Amino acid sequence: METPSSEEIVKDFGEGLGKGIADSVKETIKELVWKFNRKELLFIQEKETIELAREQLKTNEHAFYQKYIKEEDNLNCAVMGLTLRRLDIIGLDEKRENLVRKIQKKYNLNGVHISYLVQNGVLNRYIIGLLEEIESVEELNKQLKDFLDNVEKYTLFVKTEQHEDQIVNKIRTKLVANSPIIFIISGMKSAAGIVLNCFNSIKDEISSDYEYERYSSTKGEIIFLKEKKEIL
Amino acid sequence: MQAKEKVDVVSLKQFTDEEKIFLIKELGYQTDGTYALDKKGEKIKDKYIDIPIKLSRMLILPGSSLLLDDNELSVTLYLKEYGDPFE
Repeated sequence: METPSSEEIVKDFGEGLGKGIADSVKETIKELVWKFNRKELLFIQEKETIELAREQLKTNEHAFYQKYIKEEDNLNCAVMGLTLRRLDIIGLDEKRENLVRKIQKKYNLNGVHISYLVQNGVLNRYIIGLLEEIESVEELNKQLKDFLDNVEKYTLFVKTEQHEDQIVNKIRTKLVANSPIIFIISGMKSAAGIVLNCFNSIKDEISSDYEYERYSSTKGEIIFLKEKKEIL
Repeated sequence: MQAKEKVDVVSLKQFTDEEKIFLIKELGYQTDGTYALDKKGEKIKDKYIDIPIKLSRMLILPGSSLLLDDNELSVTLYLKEYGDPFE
């Protein structure tokens, strides 16, 4: 069977729109189904969705996460973080918010946190931090899995509506309770200033146990607290 | 990024509701006018995020005529499971 190109089909198809379902349109749809069954055609809503998904899977950052994140669900959340970042950059806020809801439905709040860590450029820095701290591959995998499975234990996402005293107390509590090798305090946009204020008020108190690295940008503030190694 | 087009893409946004209903029946499914239904009349759910698929957000992708909700998570998981249809 000689098949017309899909451009020709869609052109013909468009002529049938709004006129009810004429026999010619039915034939056109049957031709599309015939092409679909030969795996020569996809039915989509917007091309951007599939293009965006394809793009993220081909990024160097995805390849980096593939190397270190062994659990499929955690890796998927990382890919979604790349997608959220892209949606943010191109200003598709509604799609971004819809995607966050989908991530939460499938992977719960911890999955959303993993995605946020990637979106905000925290996870790649965290992994590099682990590479600097840990020599054994097995130990690195174990630490990373524990971190990704329990993001809330090792990270504080600061929001603007939180009081600084409460944030500082949370940092103290989490450091004491979990003794993390690396602890992350992060705040995006208007929460960036709060992160810095809170960190400054606790910096001296924790300086004997933790050293820190600050990453400041127009997007936000990220502070890595790294456990000091004992000098033998 | 320009896709290497071995397959064609048709946007369902160009379809009227009647045309979508005709299409879905041609593919062997049913519909109540809002949701895609299976042969038993049960709502078909997106296999990755377990939500019923509305005709207005429906994607139909190769892989046993797979119906999905139009969102980046489902599409990404589809690409990982079935491979990139453009390559």
